Amino acid sequence: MIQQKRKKRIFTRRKPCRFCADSSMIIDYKDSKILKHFTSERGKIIPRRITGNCAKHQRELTVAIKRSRQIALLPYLATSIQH
Amino acid sequence: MRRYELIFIVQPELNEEEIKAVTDRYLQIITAQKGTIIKTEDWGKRRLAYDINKQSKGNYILVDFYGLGSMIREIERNLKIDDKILKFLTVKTSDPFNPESLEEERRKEQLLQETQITPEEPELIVVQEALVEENDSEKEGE
Repeated sequence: MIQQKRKKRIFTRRKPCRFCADSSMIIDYKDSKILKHFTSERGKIIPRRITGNCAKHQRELTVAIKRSRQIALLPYLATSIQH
Repeated sequence: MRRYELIFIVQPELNEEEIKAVTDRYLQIITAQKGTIIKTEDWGKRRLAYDINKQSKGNYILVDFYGLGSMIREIERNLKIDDKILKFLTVKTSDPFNPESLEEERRKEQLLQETQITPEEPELIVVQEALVEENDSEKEGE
């Protein structure tokens, strides 16, 4: 046993998709308040592995965020100085 | 028929009347192109997420309408020329769109509004807070 296989897999409970759990939460590019939860401080879209969204909703979400950026409801990039 | 949503940002310096004149102009263009307006929304002056033409604020106007796809080019052409418009975005919301489905939608909305009772949670919280306050005052009284 020269090389021991590292079994360092930490199992965490998979977060449920928030849009699947709550059907009243609708992904809409006009609703920047909800979309903001899924972007980082810098304005980047947070990956699915962190937010726990399902693939279907993440796809819709990315489109919504990108549209929202086009019409200046969400920033393309946010600096830490700017609010 | 297709249903569209048009958002445009008007210069922040304009007063209400001027903004109305601008929106009316575009509503007219839409109707002239045989489009039908479902609703318009004025979001008022909002902070932009980034500066557009050195402006940090803008008046948002939303127009929900349906019509033929070929009309969009004409509307967007006009928006592009207008220097009172900072930015605009047209989004296709349904294709094909059946105008008859609108009535159903309205009926559903009405039903929702009628059946919508004030959410229970906030009430509960208020009640709990009130209880806590009462307890506090009792303690103080002792």
